[in-house]
Amino acid sequence: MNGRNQILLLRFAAPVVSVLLALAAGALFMLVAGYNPWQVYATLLTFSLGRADSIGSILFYATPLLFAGLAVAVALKSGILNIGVEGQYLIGAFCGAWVGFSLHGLPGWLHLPLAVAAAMAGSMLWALLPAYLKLYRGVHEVISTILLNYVAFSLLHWLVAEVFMDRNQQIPAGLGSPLIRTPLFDAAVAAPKLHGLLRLFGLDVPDYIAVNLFLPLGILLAVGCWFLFRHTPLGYEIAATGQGPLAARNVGIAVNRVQLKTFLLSGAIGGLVGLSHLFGYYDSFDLDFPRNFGFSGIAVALLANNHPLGVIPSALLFGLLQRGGEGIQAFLTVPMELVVVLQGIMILCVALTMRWLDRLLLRRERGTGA
Amino acid sequence: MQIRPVIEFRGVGKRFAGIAANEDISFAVNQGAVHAVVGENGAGKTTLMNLLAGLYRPDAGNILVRGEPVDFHGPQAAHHAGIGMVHQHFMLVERFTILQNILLSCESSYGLLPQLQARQKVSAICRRLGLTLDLDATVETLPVGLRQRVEIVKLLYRGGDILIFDEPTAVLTPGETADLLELLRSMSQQGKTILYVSHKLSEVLAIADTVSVLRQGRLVGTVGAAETTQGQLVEMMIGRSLTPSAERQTVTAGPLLLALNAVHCRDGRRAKALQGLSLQIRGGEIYGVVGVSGNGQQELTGVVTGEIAPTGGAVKLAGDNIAGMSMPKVRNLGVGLIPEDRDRQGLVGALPVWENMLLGQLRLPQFCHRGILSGAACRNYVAEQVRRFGIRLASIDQPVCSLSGGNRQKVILARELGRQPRVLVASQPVRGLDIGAAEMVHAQMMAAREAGAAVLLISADLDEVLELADRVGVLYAGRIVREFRPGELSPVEIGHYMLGGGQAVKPQ
Repeated sequence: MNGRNQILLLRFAAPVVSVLLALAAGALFMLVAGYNPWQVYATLLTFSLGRADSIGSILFYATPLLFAGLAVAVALKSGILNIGVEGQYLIGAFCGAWVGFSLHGLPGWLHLPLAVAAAMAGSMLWALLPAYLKLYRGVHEVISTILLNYVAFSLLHWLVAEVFMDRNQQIPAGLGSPLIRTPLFDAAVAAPKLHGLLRLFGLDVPDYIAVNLFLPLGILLAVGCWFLFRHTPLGYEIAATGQGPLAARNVGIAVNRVQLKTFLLSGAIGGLVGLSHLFGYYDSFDLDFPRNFGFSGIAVALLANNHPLGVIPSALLFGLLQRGGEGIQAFLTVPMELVVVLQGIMILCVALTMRWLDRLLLRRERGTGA
Repeated sequence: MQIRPVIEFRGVGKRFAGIAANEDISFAVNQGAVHAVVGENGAGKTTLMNLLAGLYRPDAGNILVRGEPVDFHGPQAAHHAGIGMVHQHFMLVERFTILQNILLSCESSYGLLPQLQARQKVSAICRRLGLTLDLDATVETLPVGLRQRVEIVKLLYRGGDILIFDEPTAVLTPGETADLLELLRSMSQQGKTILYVSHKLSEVLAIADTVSVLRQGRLVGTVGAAETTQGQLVEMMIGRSLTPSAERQTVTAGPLLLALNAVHCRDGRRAKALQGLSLQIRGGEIYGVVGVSGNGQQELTGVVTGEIAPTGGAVKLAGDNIAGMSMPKVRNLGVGLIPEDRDRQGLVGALPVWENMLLGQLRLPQFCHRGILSGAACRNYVAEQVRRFGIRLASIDQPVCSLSGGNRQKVILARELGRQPRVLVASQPVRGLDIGAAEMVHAQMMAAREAGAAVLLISADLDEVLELADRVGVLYAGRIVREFRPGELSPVEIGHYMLGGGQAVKPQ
């Protein structure tokens, strides 16, 4: 039917339109700030897409965002705004690191999965706290997860700087102080790199760019989530709970239990967020382990309109902006902050166009009704 | 009665987003007449009245008041022309006294002296109408019927002599309705012109001099109330005659399916809501519950469906105590629900029709193998139900909120009856539906009864209950205070029990 195809087309058009709008708004901003937007965008694109090392970087940057976007999107499907992916992934990464540095002599096929399982379990337990508070004590998850993020930060600081700090670091005499980090990981826990695979596609990514196994894992997980929402009863129960909790309860869906499951699933996925960096790039859990992936995940999920498969291009776009930002900073001396502003504008544009398109769609769908 | 049109609609039209809510409507209302405007939901009655009351402006045509064309730029302008409207939802400040509420509507009545004069004026109005109102009582202490009086006095105080009533009896008990009709009659005798919007034809024929019938935004005709019948009006309203309701099948009462025994429970604010409620329903029986809303209707639904755990007493489903069981468990034991607020409690608007029809049933083995849904089985089942229940839609993938109200209710019915429940709880099942859809809903409830289900019908519409139910219970203060069979009590007697008169009776 023609009407239905049009609707489908509009659904896909929504994020594209919002990105274009954001680019236009960003251009205006650059003009005001005294830069040539044409030149900036051209550099951003050619630098990001014209070189093998850039492609590699985009894939590397996109990997944690993929997991973070999925973690947020899954929770949002059931009406839970999980702001706590931030704290959950840091806790998860630490648990993974613990398995990484405390076990020795295991083969890689066992050690890495163990570390991954520990990360997911740790993150899930950290998510259990706000889940319990929400479902059995009525504390709104936005409040509890924001506050628990701070608790996670401090807890990690204590664990890394006090409890597990590696005090046997070899420092050449007179050359600085020891790093605040855990002992080094066992070599077996390192994530296999994808360079060989990428070379098959003609991409010769330099060794120092750590794109690794977690990227295909993330894509598989996205497909898995899509399958969950499209082909299993639980997926539909989650959607019903999120969009109409009263009706869901009246038809015999145990709304609380569904939300608990979803929150824990979101937490478990959150545990994977930091691992591509942790086991692909770092050799220990450092106090300066990268932050903010959890918050970026909210933007990634928003741009994807909560669609698990949409998270893939959305995460790649954010990776591209990150890499492109590095490019324009190096070649045009445009500050990185401009790219951050662009990201912010993009999120606003997405929120606005999505709303507008949703209303348009609804009217259209009403039109096709009886 | 003078024969001078005080209001004249001439070719009035109003469109919203391109859709005609009113089109080319012309009729005249005589001074001192009670003129009823009837039609189904969505026929354009309320739009037309809002045009007259200055809330909207017409796109086409003219409205003449006392022979002069008017163009109201807002409700204030209509007030100055003496036109006032009693809305379905009262515009009163609950914490204020009656007098304060009446003064609130007039800018010029602040200060001591005006207040004294105002009190006299209000008292005079009440006297003229034979109303007894304690002007210093706060509105929150008043029953609904009296609040409506306050609205009426408010309009009269402001100098209104053309009064519009939008479905005024929807919130009233039968006794209150009779009083209101009496009041309208006396106001019309005093020269006030009354526009009466309703879909309750018995009331309309009892009170109106003239009836204008709207259908799909157009005027079907204006007839004298004395020269028409309910059947003719229905035919004008829906464009066909109503199929005579199927002969009521005598169903031999089945086993006792639902029994509530001295059930107590508290409401959301922890106040006592049910206080020893007892009732029994057999298979093949429709048990109607009537009562003023807020006397425990929601809690009664809640304890039967498992939403609320009673604090005392037993709820037995075919002999098994289900009090305190979770909603999913109760539902699996065979309790179906047609909820009061169908859009929020019964459907997930943004999700497609097929998902709504299978909501909560996707785990059944016929739809799901080893945790994975069988799309074809789901779609076939839904398509079959759509056909059986005559749901009009373009596709089972369209969001359920894009269907009309009647079709949305049919989706719920198809879902609930498709599970062949032993007990069906139906709360306000036809509220807001047009006549055709209501007919269909009632037919399906009768079919459930014939199939041997126990139906608990909770409704604010006494006529509906008296027509459908085998037995009726009057709910007052969290208890069934009187049980009877339709025809045993007059509406006035029923109203008496609804307001707390009479003793509690034990069900047989």
